[in-house]
Amino acid sequence: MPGKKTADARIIFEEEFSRQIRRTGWRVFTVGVPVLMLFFAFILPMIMDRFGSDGEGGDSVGEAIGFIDHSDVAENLEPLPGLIRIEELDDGRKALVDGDIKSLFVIPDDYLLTGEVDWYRIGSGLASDDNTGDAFHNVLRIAVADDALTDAQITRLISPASYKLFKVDELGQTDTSSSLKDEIGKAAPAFIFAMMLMMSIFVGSGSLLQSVTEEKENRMVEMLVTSTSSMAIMVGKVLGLGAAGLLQIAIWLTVAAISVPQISDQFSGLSSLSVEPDLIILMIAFYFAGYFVFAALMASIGAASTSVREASQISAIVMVPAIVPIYASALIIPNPDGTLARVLTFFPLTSPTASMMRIAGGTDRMYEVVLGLVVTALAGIFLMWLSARVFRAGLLLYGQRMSIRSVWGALRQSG
Amino acid sequence: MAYALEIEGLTKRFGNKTVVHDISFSVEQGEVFGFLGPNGSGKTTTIRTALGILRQDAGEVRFLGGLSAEEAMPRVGYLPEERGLLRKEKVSNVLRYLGRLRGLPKTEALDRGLELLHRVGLYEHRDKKVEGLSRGMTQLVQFVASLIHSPELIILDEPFSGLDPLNVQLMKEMLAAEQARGATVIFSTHVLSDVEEMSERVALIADSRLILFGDLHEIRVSRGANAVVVEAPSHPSGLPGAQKQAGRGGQIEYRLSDELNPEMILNAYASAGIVLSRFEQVLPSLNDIFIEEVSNARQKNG
Repeated sequence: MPGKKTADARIIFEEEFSRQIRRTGWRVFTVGVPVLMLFFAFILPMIMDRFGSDGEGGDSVGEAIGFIDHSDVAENLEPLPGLIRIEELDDGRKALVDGDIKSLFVIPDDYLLTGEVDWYRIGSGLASDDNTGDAFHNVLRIAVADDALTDAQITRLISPASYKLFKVDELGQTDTSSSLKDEIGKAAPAFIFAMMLMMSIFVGSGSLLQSVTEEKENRMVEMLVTSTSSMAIMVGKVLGLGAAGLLQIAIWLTVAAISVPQISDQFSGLSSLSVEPDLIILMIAFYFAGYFVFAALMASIGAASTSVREASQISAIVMVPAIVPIYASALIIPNPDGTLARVLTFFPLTSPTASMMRIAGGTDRMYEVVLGLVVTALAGIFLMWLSARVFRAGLLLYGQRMSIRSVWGALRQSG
Repeated sequence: MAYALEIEGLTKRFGNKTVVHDISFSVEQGEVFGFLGPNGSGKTTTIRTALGILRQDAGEVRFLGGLSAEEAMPRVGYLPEERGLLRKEKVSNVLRYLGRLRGLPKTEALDRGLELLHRVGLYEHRDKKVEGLSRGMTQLVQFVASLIHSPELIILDEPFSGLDPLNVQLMKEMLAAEQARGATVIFSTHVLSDVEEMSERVALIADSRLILFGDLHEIRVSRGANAVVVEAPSHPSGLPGAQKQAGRGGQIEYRLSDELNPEMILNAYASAGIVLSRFEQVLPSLNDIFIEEVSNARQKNG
């Protein structure tokens, strides 16, 4: 009765989806992540505007800086916005106290020989975190260069190079050029996607584990298996909870799409963030493939366990491999086509996150990533089939202590 | 004869242990059938195996005139022995969910669930979460779930255990109504009075084997009378065999044995010149049969 099974799977899908999105945990997590995003998008820049600095401008020094020049090195320095020449140390200290300037630099008469400059500042915080120090470095470069250098030379002295990258492949061919910023702009979304993927897969498959274990523990499962097939139950549950996970990712991506343009004005590094459509398609494909693998494993563990507690303990063993690529990101991203990265790509439990990390690292072997996706998807389908059998067999293990032997015996008995 | 359930040679083993041993019986359509057995005799495993929850090691099971368990399930209502529902869900949502899985459209599943909740007096609890109900209430909700799709065959595993007498009576009335509608009811129990009250036919299992099956009255008749009740103004002394006061003052029940038969009792009263106002041979009760058969089976199986 395939028609009935499909209809039953749809009913279970609807019920599981609706139950999942009504759960407090799902709602808190779904809202919590965007709240953090918005915090970084709007609140953090506001805080940084208030307390931070923007000392990168070429024609200004950012926050007001006062200086006293005893060496005459800055005698011919043209006025710069935010840079205030002060004659007496007492006047400088007063300007500091009044908040007219953030830092006061005193250039001694032997500066050219010693390079030593006195830096007066107010309040707490490390001087190394105070951008006025870097800003005054640039002031001194301009001052020392004086008329000996052209404006362009002074600019290059301050900002020596902006690298443009060319990749040369094994055949000596050069691909399209990009900048370091572009590279970070492309790598960052893949890394963020890997994190989101992992979180969402964990939430979805964790919910499935909980759902199966609870239904077994409260005997609801006996009502279900006499209403429909174990495959319809498993497919309905997995798709229902998977759809809830996908909705979660969609909400996060929407919030990110709205908030990143806002945040990119505040953080120059983010202005180059670019999300290729290919990456979104790959991420969704990996979400499903990875989710099926984990969901099937979680459902099997839930079905074969005798309590929620026991199931949670065992599930941790399965969860650990998924986190490995995140921990190993420092090895995978710099070397995306190395042995470790390649091995993890073809192991279904690590493939989704490892593949995202390889994309973040700019892998030259995208075909391996696609192949890893196929392997993960096939593993997901096989594990789904197996989990339906384990789910059915799990009924035999009411109150029994789980062992590989007992699960195998139950599997054989369940047919 | 159309059967609602036919079981032939059903055997189920867990490892080396046989928990259902070559059991065969059939249930006629439209009857209320009692499935009897002491605790741990294999009743629940027989039901689970018949329903296809567990896979049988041998034997055949046919439902509703020859259907497999899978084919028949949409027309079968089942109340498991171990109760439980989705604890965090509202009662009405659970009933709607189970009703839909048994083939009812969404709205109809909810309406039918609410109608049945009315009948069992739980309508005002429809929006409560299952975990907020008492054990008896949860059992009634689960009972309602087994009837929600008006099944042709209703299988109830220990349906009355844990319920107060009022709810037991309510459940019996609803099952009688289901039978009147044309449904077949099979229920397992070890409470013999429930079977005597509700069933005409029974199956009795002990130690995983079927030891008795058939019409309850015929079974009792086939055993012959095992007691005689005598009502008289006085009673002779010196009759052998167990005696007990049966009800009111002038009535005595003599347990029959090899040393005491009805003729000897009649002769004793005649010799004493006592006029009898009642002399009745009593068939064995289901309780007597149950104890005798189960004890014999246990002796036989060591």
